[in-house]
Amino acid sequence: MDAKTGINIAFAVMSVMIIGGGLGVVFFRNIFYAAASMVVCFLGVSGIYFSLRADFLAVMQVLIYVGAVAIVIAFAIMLTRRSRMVDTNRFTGNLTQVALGLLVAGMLGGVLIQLGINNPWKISGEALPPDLTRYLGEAMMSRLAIPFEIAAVLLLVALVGAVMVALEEVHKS
Amino acid sequence: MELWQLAWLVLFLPLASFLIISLVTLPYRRLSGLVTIFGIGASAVLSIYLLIHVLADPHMHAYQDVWHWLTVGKVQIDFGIMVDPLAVIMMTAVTVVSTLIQIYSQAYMEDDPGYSKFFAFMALFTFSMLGIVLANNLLMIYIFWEMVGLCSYLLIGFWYFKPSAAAAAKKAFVVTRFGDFGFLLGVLLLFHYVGAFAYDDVVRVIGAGGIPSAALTVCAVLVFCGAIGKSAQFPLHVWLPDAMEGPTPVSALIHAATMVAAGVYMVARIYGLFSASDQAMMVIAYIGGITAFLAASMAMAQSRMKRIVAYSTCSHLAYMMMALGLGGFTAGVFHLILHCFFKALLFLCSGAVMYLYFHEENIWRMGGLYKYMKVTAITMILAGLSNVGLFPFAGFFSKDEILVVAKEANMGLYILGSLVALFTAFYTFRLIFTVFFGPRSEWSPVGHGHGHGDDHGHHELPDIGNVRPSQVALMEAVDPVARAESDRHLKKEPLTMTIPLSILAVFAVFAGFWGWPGLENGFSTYISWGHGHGGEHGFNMFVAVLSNVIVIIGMLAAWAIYGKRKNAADPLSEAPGYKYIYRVFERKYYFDEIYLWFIRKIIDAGAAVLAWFEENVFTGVFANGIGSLFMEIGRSFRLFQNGWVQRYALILFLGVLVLVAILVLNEPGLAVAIGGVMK
Amino acid sequence: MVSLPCYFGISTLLFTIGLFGALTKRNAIVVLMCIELMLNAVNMNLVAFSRFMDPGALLGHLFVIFTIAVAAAEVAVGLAIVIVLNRHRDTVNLDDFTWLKG
Repeated sequence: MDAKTGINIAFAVMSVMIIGGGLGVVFFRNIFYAAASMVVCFLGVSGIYFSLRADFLAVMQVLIYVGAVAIVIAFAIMLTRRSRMVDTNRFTGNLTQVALGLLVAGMLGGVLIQLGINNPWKISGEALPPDLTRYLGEAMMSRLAIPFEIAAVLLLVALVGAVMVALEEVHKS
Repeated sequence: MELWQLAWLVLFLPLASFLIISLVTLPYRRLSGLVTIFGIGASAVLSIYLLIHVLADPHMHAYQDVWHWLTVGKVQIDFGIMVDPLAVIMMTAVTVVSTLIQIYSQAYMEDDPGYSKFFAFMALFTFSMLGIVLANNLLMIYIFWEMVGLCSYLLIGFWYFKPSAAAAAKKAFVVTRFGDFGFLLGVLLLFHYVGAFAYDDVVRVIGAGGIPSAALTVCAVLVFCGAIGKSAQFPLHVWLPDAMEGPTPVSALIHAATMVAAGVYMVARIYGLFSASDQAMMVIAYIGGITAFLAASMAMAQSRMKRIVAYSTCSHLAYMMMALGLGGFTAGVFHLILHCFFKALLFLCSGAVMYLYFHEENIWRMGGLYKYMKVTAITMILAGLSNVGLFPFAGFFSKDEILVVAKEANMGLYILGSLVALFTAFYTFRLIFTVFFGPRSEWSPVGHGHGHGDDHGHHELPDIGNVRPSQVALMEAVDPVARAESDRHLKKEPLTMTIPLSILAVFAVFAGFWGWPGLENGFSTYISWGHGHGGEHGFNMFVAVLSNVIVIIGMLAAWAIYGKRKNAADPLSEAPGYKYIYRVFERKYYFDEIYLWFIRKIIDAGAAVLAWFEENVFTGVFANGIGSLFMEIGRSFRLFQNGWVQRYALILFLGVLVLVAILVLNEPGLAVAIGGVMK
Repeated sequence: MVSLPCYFGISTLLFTIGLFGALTKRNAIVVLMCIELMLNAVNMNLVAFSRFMDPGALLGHLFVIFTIAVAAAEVAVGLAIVIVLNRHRDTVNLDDFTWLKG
């Protein structure tokens, strides 16, 4: 088994994780299983990043999505659903909506694939920067310093806002 | 700074007074009055200063100072003043008369709760009037024209709590509006041909033959419509008598001396426009002649003091119009200036009588007042003599010039003018004899409270309107005790009234000599049009003597009928034969009734048709129909708004799909292009 | 090395699955999860394209970092809203939240 076969196998495994995870989110009838399968999907995405040499992003993906987002979602599930988790993840009762949703999503996916797969993308032969993480870090601190700061402010605002929204109303006496 | 730029100061000082009063001194009554008096007084002093310079230079060029206001497309609109002898003389007359009237108002308005407001309005009015006088273009004169209309409305309705005053203010505003509408149309039509508003441009284009003669006549007549409304000419004269509901100083300033003169002044100011069209001049002359006759005849049978003077004003303005229409530019303007003084005086005297005599206005409740108010009576007689145009009082000179012009130009109008002179003499002295001489009326505001009246079997006197001889008892029936009681309540003449009256009386008597025919540097040296009338020759003896004889006949007739009357009633009102004509005069030729009938029957019928149309076609078909159409559409679209966020998202992505489809179908190479961009 | 269309195909599939779920699931939390799936699909695409077509500048990588930040903020606020809704209505069922209907 040469390196190329190994990469292909790895890609196939990750694809299965991603697609399977995604389908699991949609089709598991227990919301907790859905959340778990979402984690599987995120891990697959992280693997894809590794395969694309985006090591930093892959780690970030695991930290943020698997570590934070999934945990927050688990908390939200716990907070909103205190009894059994059976049959908590169902499709909407409106069958028209389900059918139309399937149609729209399917057509959009079909069109995108049709456009993307058959397109002769111009692949560049350039080499990646030698130290990719250093490169990203320098870019964030120099060229993209202002967007970086804005993102920081956005996160702060979102954090405070989320706390404010979810805060139990204190009864004034 | 150039000397003539002082005219800006003359213009804006009254505005400054208005602003100071309305923003600062409104709560302080005395101060407000003083602000106006000093503001307008300063204007008057500056005007006189400018007038002296004008007199020193008989051939001065018109000075113009233009401030660029705004540009609309290629049209430049300016805010400019034009200073020439006509403007300066008129400006002086306006500010001097206005100043004297402000002083007089101190006494007249002393008890009024709206004292400060009154002076603010008066200052604003003076500013607007000066704007008309100094304007150098049609748009500006129109703006100030409307401002004057507004001030007139505010001041006629000054005692707005009186229904009659409110109605009169509304009537004045609406009636003059008819004329102003024509004025605006005329200005716009002129602008269409000339492309500018300035008088100079208008006259230049007319001189170059830039306007077809038919269009020129239409323009001139339309612009003259404004003058018909503002100067109360037939058929829009009906508002002026009602306007006497305002305080008397207002009547004197606005409805005698200045605002109503604005129409005549405007015709004189744009004389180049009117004189270029013979038809327009004919219209002006005949409108003037007809109005002069109607107003003078109506004045002969009125009962309310100020209305008599109001009709007199109307008639005199019409006289000026007639003169201008017949080409007597100098004569018309001269009469305009002199009229400012003697008519203001006549009004102020009437106001003084009312002020002193329990605010009563009906002349049949007066009589024999001479001994109680000597200054007022004497000045009023002088004003009356000037008003009728007896030699050598001021009115004579201008009236004589007008008659000379009329005799040369149009015999019919000359005869009409002479008849008007007769009427004028008659009604003026009917008023004076009834008020100041003859027996006292039995009416007394004080006596009524003392059980005097019904038990004696008298008829109740009508509030307004002429008293018929059959309605009153002879004078012997009056209780002398009650009479003396009542007389003790008569006020004394205050100095703030007698001084302005005396000053105006000097003008009313002597101002005419400036226009003595053939006088070196006389009035016609400064104010003339083309080759000019008068000035070169002396009196036309025939006209002068005849007019004086006519006036004396009128005065003698008034003496015979009113000076020697036996009781406080109008003998003519029941004179056999004449009483029917009298009735027509008294009821003002039924103009108000005819207009009202017209409004009720014709306009209301038309309005009913339009109302039906509006209700069924506009509201029914257009408003409700279109409305319900859209409501139905909205109702069907509302179904999409089901509040279900996932359906919204679905539609959103459907839209994305459609957009992608359109893009791909329209541009098959899109995907390739994306690849190219990415490169 | 795996070709670009493979990555593209995977990400498009994930995006389609996420979209379908977001449009049709009843539970608000699951809808949020599906939106996360869509975001991840987009991120994968960005990284793949920048790796293959722009390896010198790698703008896609940089962009993904910001996307992740925004997605994290979105999850925080979205879940907070879901919790408040649950507190007031005792449900997280999107079928019941139709107060804004016309």
